[in-house]
Amino acid sequence: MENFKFDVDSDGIALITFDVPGRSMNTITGSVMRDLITLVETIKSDDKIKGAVITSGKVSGFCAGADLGELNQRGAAKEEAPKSEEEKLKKQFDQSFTLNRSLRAGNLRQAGGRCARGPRPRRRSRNRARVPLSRRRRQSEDQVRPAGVEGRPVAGAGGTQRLPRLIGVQNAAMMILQEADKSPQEAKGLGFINEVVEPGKTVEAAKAWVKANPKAIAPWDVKGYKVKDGPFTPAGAMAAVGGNAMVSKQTNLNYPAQRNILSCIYEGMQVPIDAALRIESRYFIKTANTPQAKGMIRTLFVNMQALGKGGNRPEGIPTYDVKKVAVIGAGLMGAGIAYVQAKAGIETILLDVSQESAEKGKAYSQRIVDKDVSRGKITKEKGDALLALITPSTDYSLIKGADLVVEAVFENVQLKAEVTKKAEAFLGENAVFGSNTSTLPITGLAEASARPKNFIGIHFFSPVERMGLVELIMGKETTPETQAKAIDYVIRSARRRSP
Amino acid sequence: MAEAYIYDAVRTPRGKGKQNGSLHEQTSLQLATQVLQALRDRNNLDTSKVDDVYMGVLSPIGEQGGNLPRIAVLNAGYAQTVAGVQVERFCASGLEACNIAAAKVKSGEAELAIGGGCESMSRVPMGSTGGSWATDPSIAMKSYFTPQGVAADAIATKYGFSRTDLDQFAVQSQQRAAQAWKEGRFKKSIVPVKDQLGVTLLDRDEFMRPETTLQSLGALEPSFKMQGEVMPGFDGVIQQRYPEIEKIDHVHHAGNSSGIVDGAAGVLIGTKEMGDALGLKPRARILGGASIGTEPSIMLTGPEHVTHKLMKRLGLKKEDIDLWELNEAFASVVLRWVQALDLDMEKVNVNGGAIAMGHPIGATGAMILGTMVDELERADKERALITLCIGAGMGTATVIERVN
Repeated sequence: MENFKFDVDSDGIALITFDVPGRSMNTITGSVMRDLITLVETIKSDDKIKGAVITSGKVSGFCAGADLGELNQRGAAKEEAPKSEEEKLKKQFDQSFTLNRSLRAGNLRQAGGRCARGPRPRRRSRNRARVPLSRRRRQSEDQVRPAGVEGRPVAGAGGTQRLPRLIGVQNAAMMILQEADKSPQEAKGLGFINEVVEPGKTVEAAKAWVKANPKAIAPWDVKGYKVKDGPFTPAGAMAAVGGNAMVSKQTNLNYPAQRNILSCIYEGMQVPIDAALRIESRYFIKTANTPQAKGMIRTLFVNMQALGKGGNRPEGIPTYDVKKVAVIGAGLMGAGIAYVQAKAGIETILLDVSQESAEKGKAYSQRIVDKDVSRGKITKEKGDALLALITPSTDYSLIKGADLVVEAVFENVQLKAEVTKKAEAFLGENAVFGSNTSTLPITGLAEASARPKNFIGIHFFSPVERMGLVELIMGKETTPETQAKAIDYVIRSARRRSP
Repeated sequence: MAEAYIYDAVRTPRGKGKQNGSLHEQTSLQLATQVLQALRDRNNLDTSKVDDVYMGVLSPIGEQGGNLPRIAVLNAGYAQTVAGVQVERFCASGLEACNIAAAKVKSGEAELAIGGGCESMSRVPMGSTGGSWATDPSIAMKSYFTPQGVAADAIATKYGFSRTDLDQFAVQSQQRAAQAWKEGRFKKSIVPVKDQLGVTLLDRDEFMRPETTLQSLGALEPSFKMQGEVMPGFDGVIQQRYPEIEKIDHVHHAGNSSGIVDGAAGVLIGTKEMGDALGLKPRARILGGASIGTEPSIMLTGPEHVTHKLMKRLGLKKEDIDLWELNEAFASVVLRWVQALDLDMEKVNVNGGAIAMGHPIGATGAMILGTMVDELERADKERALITLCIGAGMGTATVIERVN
């Protein structure tokens, strides 16, 4: 087992540490699935093991969900091609359902405990939600925040079935659809974690729980168990009808994952858990096979990661260390650009026609910083440091020494030409001139430049601090070197959370 | 093919469909039973000649479940050879039951049958039977499920009816119903409901508010604004299907929508030969019936389409119909139908409708069919068309012709 450490203590309680090698966050890969099955078999077959506690070896949390990179590669491996569409789907189902089948096989039962996704880093100071798990021959693969929407397909591992049975259909549907984080206290109140303990004491507390609850059994495995709020109960009907309406309104029917999650719940609540898990696995495959899911995984995950690592950057050009950038035009766009790059630790000159306008542009950052400080998102010191990096001015000579200029003045060719000339008078030979134009052709704007090779379109989207997308537009004469430099700048300034 | 004749039509008065309604203390079985007994007693009927009883029930669950018509046949003391079957086509269940009875007679499968319906909305509330349309995401979303009230508001908005237009129609319904009662136009078919002692419990439609005015309706709050705009926001669902509606005007309220009431009805339908054999006098002939499916999200525009479908099949022109009757589920439904077919309002719902008297869902279709039989005779007219809008986007209609 490469993904789990496994230690049995003198009381016969196994400690399983989930720690996928070489990753900052655990994900459910094919290898993890195989390991989990081995784990289950080990616990099942070893009478000395009275119970098991599962924890994470990562500070980032317990598990992010399905491994999207791997999911994206699905079918790429050389396998015998299935004979028919139906056969292909059957095979996908078998693969997806293996884990559930293993966990549910024989007299193996889910225990009362389950794994809450660990607190996010920013909550590190708070109490840690914990996760007592299972007793002898008990094991749970549950994840309390089942990965759902936004490119992550429906968790095929039972989340849409166990969570509603634990905390009620309405609460569960909201949590799964909105991927809502819950504080440990809220989670305990809702009933999907057993206890909240001091950081560092989780394993100890979980082991104590396992010892104290040797006969723990999941509610849905207790004989006579019935879902209380299925779709044909008064409460369940409200949740079902309302859920359908809200999802259809919010998604305009463009997100099959959302609809399929609701179908998992609607259909799953009407049958026993084993049938429900099969239904969920089928919807998981159905969702993962949609062009929408494939497209979202590709665009929002695979390509996003690639871009973050400088995908499309011309090769063989050394990294451009962007330390100082002048932003010309302190309107809405300029002010936003100044904020994001200052946040990334870049010295920022914010120029405008009057000192008053330039100051106004800086005030935009001041407002965001004040809000973040008041909400405890950043410290006062960090906020002050960020603001200190922005110099509002009318003096173009401050451009001296800048690695890059972003021009964000009105969409007027003459005005832009004038600004380009004024800026280039102070701009170093090898520095980049970027225009934030959204409509004007870059080649045309570059005509005003003495160094069109260094001229490029760097188009941010509004509101800059929230929109991750930046469009780079090459002019006819823009060199690959300039392109590489602009990419380095964008990646640098996109790193919104400066360390 | 045989002709299907209407020999008699009866209905109970409509009681308020609430716990304080007069009929709340009488079972659904009793309502259905008393209708069957009235048909038997008024016609001195040898019940062994009745082949089957078709009754519409919207919510066949609890006491209304388990094939109420057959149980009512037994309870009414009909011959045990009389079968029974429960019919559900949402709001048109009662008319559908009559259409089935007529079709069976025409086909020769039955010589004498009863169509009708029964609904105690105070005892078995709407929605009791569940259903997958609104709850199952696989169909709710792709068909843009929207509840009827919001759909009715969407019809008003899309086809340009203001709150005042709807309220004026509601006042007219109240006035016409009051006038009809005053003149005894329903007298022929009303069967008072008796209590456990056999004493009259209700002999009039108790839901009516003849004193209604535009001003009094003006004070009512819209009924479907909340579920349309806020929780869970169905406006946003139906607007995906009808993007041309920029904002839905929530114009329906308790006063211009149909009332929730209790009641039952029955129509005796048979061949000419069977009527002659039993010494029954035919009152009207059922020229034909039809049903159609229409766009389900806006749901309630079926009457227009089923009217066209049936009239075409029967080879009838607008001038051939003297009386037009459309169940007043919501005021906008009637106004849209009148607009689409360019009808003369003087010939439409001449004795008022469900806005004034209420809509006992499973029974209404059979009730308004009976009302038209009476009115054709009273007003000395030839033909009437009866239709209802229906859940999930349907329409059902029937055309009858008076027999001299």
